[in-house]
Amino acid sequence: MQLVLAAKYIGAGISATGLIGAGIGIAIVFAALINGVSRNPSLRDTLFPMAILGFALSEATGLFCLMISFMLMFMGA
Amino acid sequence: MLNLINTFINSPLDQFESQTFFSIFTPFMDMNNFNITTFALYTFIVLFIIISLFMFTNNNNMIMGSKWFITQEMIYDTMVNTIKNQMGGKLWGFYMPFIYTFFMFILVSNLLSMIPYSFALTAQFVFIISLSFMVWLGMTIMGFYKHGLVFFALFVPQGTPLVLVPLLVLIEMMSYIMRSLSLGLRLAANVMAGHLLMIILGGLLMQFMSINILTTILGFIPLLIILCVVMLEFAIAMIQSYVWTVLMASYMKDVQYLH
Amino acid sequence: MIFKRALSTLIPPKVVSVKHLTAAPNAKRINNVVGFYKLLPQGPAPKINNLSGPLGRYKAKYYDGENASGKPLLHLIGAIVVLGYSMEYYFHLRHHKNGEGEH
Repeated sequence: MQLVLAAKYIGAGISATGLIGAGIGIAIVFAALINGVSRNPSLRDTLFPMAILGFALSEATGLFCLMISFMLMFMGA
Repeated sequence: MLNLINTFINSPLDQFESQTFFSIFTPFMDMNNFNITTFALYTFIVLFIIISLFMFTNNNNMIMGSKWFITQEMIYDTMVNTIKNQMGGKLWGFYMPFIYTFFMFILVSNLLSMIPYSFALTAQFVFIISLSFMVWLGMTIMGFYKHGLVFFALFVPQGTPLVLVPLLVLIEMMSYIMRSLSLGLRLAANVMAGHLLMIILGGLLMQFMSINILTTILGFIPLLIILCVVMLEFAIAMIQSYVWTVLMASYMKDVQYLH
Repeated sequence: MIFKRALSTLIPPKVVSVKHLTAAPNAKRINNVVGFYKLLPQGPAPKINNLSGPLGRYKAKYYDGENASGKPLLHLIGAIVVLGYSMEYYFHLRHHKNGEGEH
């Protein structure tokens, strides 16, 4: 029984490393935004909503991984 | 952190618990879904807030609006511009009230959950994922009703060689089916992870600051960091509702116009 | 030297009024405009309120016209904190008195 508990905690910890992808993805999105605005500053109002959408979508895939971590930690049996 | 032993160990998941206030007594059938729980109570609070936003702010139906009415106009203009840009074509006006309703509901309930001692409606996975599944199912049925079997043309992108089409249709169909799950899971996972993070950090900092007076003073620096996390949570609360809206408008465009 | 003054400087400029019927096509239009403005109510706008009862008074105090302030948001936050804390006390904190549950 204790082995299952230990395995749950270890699994939850390991599965949280998927958030590296979320971090890199968000950085890529905002790097593209900075690049685009620096080349053409008048496009700020067009590009900014798209950057927000890209941020949320890439954060979502990272959080799918975090959900697996939560499932392992907090769901019994 | 798990409730294995029967003492009162607080888990950070306690904030998402739904308590029943009034339950309906039906001995023959299981009608427990009609109970009045905290979920129902907070849904009523969200309804009250949205109705009061419409009824109180309109400056007695005068043409010139009050300063409160500017918020309503801002939300309406954002929605119209977003849906018109995403959907375009002739049919965007039909679906604008539908998408606007979702935006208001998710925005108000996300912002309501940021108040201390409140309850996060959008962090309830079953609720949000079933909501997104129903929306997706409704759109698919509407697509089949409108286009018949030509609806499957959605799955073939333009300009693919004929050899690749069977494989591509399978992959596109997989991606289309995943939309039902991912739309709701994105919102629920973001809100739940954010709230969980805030409670865990807050609990740790409170334990740290309650050791002695030195740590209380020293603990104001991590408090500033947690303040930044809270501000990020406010931003995410508003961004998630906007993302839901944009994606719903985009899926509606796919279904109505078949790209 | 006597500077010759033109005709336009001797005659005062035409003021748009009902009495100047020299500009014949404009007269009827000006008549209509003046008649319309005479029918409008004068003075500052009356304070109307299409909601009655205590909610109407709340609306007039915080939302209408001049007194549009953000205080209803603070009221909402206070109400939610009170409601949430009372629920939390009733369901959880009642059983946490006397220091049990602390490790």
